[in-house]
Amino acid sequence: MEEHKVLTGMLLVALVVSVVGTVITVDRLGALGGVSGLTGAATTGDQYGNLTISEVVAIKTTGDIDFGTGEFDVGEDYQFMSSYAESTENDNSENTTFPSVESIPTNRTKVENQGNVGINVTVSSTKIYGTGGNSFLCAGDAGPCGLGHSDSDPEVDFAFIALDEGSDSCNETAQRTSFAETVPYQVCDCLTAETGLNSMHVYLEMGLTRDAAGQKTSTLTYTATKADGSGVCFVA
Amino acid sequence: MKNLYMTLLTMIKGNIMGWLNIKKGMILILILMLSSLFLAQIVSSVGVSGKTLRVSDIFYEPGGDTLSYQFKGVVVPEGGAELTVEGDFADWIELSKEELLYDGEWDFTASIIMNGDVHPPGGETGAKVCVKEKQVSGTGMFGSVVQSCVPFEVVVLYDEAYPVLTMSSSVGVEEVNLTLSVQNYGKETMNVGSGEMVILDYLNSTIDSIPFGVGTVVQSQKITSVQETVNISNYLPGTYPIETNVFIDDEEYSVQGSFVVGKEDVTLVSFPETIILDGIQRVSITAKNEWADEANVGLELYFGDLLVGTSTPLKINAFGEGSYTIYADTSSFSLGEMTGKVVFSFGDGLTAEESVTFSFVEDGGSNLEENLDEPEGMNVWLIVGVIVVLLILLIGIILFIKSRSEDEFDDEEF
Repeated sequence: MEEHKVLTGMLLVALVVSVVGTVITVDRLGALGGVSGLTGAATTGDQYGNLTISEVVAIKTTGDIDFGTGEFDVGEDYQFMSSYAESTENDNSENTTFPSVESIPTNRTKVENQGNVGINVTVSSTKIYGTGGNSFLCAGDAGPCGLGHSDSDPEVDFAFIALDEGSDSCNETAQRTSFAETVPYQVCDCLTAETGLNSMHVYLEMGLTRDAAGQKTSTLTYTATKADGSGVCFVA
Repeated sequence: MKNLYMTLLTMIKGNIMGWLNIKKGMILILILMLSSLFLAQIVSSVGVSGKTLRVSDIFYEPGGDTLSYQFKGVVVPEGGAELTVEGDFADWIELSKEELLYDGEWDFTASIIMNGDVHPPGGETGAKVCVKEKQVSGTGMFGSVVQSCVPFEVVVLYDEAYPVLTMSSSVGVEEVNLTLSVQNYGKETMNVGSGEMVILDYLNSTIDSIPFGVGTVVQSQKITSVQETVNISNYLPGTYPIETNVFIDDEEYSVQGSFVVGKEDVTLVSFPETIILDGIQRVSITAKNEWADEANVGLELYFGDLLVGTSTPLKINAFGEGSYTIYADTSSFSLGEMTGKVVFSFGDGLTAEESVTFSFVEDGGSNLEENLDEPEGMNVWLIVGVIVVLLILLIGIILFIKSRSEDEFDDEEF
């Protein structure tokens, strides 16, 4: 009977190891994204091999930036918001109840090259900066919005910051770019496909005014195309 | 889901095996593990594969044959992906499908249709064929969509002969080759006649003139080139503009270019502005080879007059850049501004020295670095899920063995 208990215990341990191993393996394989860039075909008759390595352009984003929810403190009517802790002297929570810049639930979007060639990455936004009808701040706002800020006032900016993850992932990274139109703006001219270096981060910044109440939303479209030339990035 | 967790809690508190047998417990645990995967951070991913993903040098010839290109969607998300065409040339590209289904066939064809009733205007144009995620991910302030695109770069032939000139030059120490290329973007043939390449200095004064005569008939879409060799052994280092004039169908055209005469030298491109003062630190340095031939370039790094690191020679291409990593001991220095020098050694015993100024700073523990190093949410959830499952299973095993022991003990007593 004692032997039976030991065997049962060992069986359960083996089961755990097996299940955990499978889950981890599936996770790792999932990270590859099912990219299969190698195709082959053997010819008949002449007895020679023919191998074609397909080019793959694939992009993956992880984490949509979330500033959380909040409201203005009494007597305050403007707050500069950033998801990048080092970009501003202000803190998102200075004049509001929004989480501080260091404790934003998700402070960046990770952009990853899942293909086998260098990619040019752009991002476009359905909303733009300023106080106009299609601005991130005031779109859909029925009442007054912008508290006297002009449409081109940098205080009501809506912009992104793109940075290498670590270093050496992007040949030429855009620093800080405002969404002036709904057109695509360059995030990286050539994001390398080299494993371990193939990702970068995008942060967002904006100015908020008290009278721009309601939920503010925008959809960001990340586009990947094969980088110019051979698609090989010469990252400094 | 809440009920599931409550059930599991009950399992732990009570006699697990009395309520549920092992098989059912394992199913619940598997469900828990899988649900932890789906609760992970929002991930968007989509891609496209093909023989080439930048379709260029395509000539659109009105009434010509249709050109077709095969592609395949990659990592199509559960919500499926839509196929789109954007750009000035979009109306002349036809896709075999409108969308890719998650569990469907992902192959598709993009065709350039040239035999329609309406043709695009002559000149360079293009469009992008994209595989775009259908569903917007994210539920809060920002949603995101990803797309992977294939650019099509097309030249629509002009009605008449239409020469497109380009000027290029080779890299050399004693000689460089200057090449004029003339491509016909028109439907008609053209005759490339004589011309000359004029080499200028930085004041735009003529240094040399090289006449040439071609007399070549160039068909539609075809290209011809003229190459002339220049001896540059007496030229000073620098960039030299070239202006080339050529007669095509008795009309004069011109194009500009340039070539570079190198100097056997190495220059510093980048050096860090700050170095952390804490033991051995990594210092990244970039150098440029100014010579028109590859060079083996060694490097020595000095803080003040103290040699703190060396690098074995690095082969740098002509006019190329090379990156060095030096691990320097900072323990004998103090905070604040510091001067030093980088000494490059190359060629036949040549050296070049560049002074550098930087600051030793304390290790501030940059938030950015911390952020970058933290694992992605997916993995965190996975690890948490696995730990929870392991704990539940271990408790289950203990309770199971304990309950069996008590049963045996009761049996024996009975």
